[in-house]
Amino acid sequence: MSENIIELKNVSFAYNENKQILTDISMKIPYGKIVAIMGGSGCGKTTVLKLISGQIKANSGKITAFGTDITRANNKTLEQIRTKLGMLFQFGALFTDLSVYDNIAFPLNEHTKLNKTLKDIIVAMKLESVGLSGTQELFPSELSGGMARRIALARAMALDPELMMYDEPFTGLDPISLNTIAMLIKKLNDNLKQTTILVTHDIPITMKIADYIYFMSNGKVIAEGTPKEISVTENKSVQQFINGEVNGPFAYKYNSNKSYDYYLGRESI
Amino acid sequence: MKNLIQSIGRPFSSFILMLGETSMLLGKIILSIPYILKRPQLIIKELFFSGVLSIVIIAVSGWFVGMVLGLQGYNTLQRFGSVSVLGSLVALSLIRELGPVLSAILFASRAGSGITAEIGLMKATEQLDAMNVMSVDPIKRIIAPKFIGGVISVPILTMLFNTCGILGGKFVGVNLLGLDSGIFWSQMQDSVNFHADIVNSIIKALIFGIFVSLISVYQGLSSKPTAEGVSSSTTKTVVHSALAVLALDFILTAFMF
Amino acid sequence: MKRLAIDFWVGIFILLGLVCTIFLSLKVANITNFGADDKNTYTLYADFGNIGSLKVNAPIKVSGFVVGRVSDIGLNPKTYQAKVTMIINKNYHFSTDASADILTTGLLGEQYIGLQNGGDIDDLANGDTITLTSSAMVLEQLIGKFMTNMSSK
Repeated sequence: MSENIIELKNVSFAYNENKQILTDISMKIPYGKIVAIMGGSGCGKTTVLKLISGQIKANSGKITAFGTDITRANNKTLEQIRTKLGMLFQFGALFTDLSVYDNIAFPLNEHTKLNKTLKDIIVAMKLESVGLSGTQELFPSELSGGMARRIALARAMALDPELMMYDEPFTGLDPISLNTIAMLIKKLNDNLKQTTILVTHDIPITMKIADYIYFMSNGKVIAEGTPKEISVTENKSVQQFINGEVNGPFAYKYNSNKSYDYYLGRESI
Repeated sequence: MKNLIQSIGRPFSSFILMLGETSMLLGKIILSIPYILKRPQLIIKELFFSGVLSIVIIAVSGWFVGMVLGLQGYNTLQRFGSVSVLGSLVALSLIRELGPVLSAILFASRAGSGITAEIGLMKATEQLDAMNVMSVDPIKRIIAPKFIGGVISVPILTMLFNTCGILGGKFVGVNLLGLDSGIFWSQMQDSVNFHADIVNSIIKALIFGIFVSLISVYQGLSSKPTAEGVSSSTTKTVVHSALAVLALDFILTAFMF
Repeated sequence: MKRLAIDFWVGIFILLGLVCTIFLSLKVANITNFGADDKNTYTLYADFGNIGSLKVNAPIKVSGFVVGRVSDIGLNPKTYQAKVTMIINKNYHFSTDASADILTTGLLGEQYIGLQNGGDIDDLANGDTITLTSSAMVLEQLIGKFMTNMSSK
């Protein structure tokens, strides 16, 4: 057995011929670490998560999860693998027609035959671990964005997954909620011996909690390393991203074949 | 020239594609029936939202349609001196055509659009993806109960529509225009046949229910995950359902009556 | 509480559907009269020269009272007359010289068969044929007759 829970080897993916999303990506996610995948919007970070969870299939390359090649796995194996991983979606993706209790109990109801008392205990424990005890009876519409995400985190952990994936968990949160989520991610990873994949573009928090960072741009990995290595990298794109500069390798201007003058009527094409 | 031919071909090929996708969806739904049977509560919930909440609109519409039929029928039949057949006219037009067709179209706009919007929003807010990652098939857990709920609801609502319509027609004919209620009912009983009319009405409603529910869930699943996408899918549900119901009605009537 | 309320309303909904179907079957279609039940009915036949627009399921009336229904209409291959199968309620019996006419409700209404009992002592049995029949009035023929009468005057 390798020491990596997930391995991507030369993976490429496209929804159709015209739009290549990922080109030749290779990543290694070692057991027990927090690995961050960073990059600008639309660079294919979320697609990597979808590939790992088997929601979409790679066009070429090999993805190994828990020692199984999931690019060639059948639905049954995929389901087994999915029960070992939890995923937190960008805005939580709580089921709006179910109460907080039913949301967290959902994976338990579907995959286990626990009795009510046991489920009550598990739900209470999970809620306590995200600091929201007593919200069992509330509905998602009654929760703030930060609370909804913590409930979703509790739901993702209901089956005690070995691998947690977070899809931009920090987007649109106030600084307090943001730090709460970050603290939870770190705590859960360390206490439960989980492995964590963190997809985000929030620099300071990631530098604080991640063990290893992959930097992506236009569907390719352009830099990788520990936070320390990344912060001193020579790569212009990464530097621009970390420092948040407007001008640099990431174009500020939209790449159009018509010039500004054309729109002012001074020039014909 | 090539563009012209392409623009003729595109709607056709996308229609074929849609047919294929819909029948695959139907297949998947049928395969998930064993899963649903273990969780009847899911269907009961859908019956509540698509059936119970449609009772009022169906009953009121049926009542008014029946009243209009009574009034128009009375005015027309009076010219031929045969107002006595008003009962048959109201009952036959409702049971054979108006009941199943209008119930299905009203169902599409009241419940079908709601089903589409709900599925579309669940897709837009990644709830379906979340379910997938928890290795629960959203087709089984979300789509199939909604579909089955709709298929059960439409025939029941059609019977309700027929009943309210006939009572509405009776109200106009007998209570307002002064026809003899005995003649009204017996004329109706003479011309309405249980097997040929009522059973066929239920069969029609069942087939419409299958189509409208399938269109609703399909549009929900294939909607673009944006506010615009969901709203256009909702519109499509109502338009496609109405067209499908009217076209099917022609085919079914040709076979049945 | 919520789940119970939903169960309750869905129960009401299903019951409502059942009640409506029963209403339609009994009050509107009158399924109790002359159903497919063979026990309470017997069959008679009648040949007509012209049945006009008589339909299957048309009522069979005696003095305006419905005693049965037309169950089938065919053609007698020997006589080339229309053969009408009638299902009659067992409570009513007719003599062998009873006559059957095709009549119309109103001027343009539905057509039905009117039975007129004769004076014979023997009753028609199951499967017998009524011989005394008069065909439907056909408007075109009436007008035709009227025209020839007019022109011959």
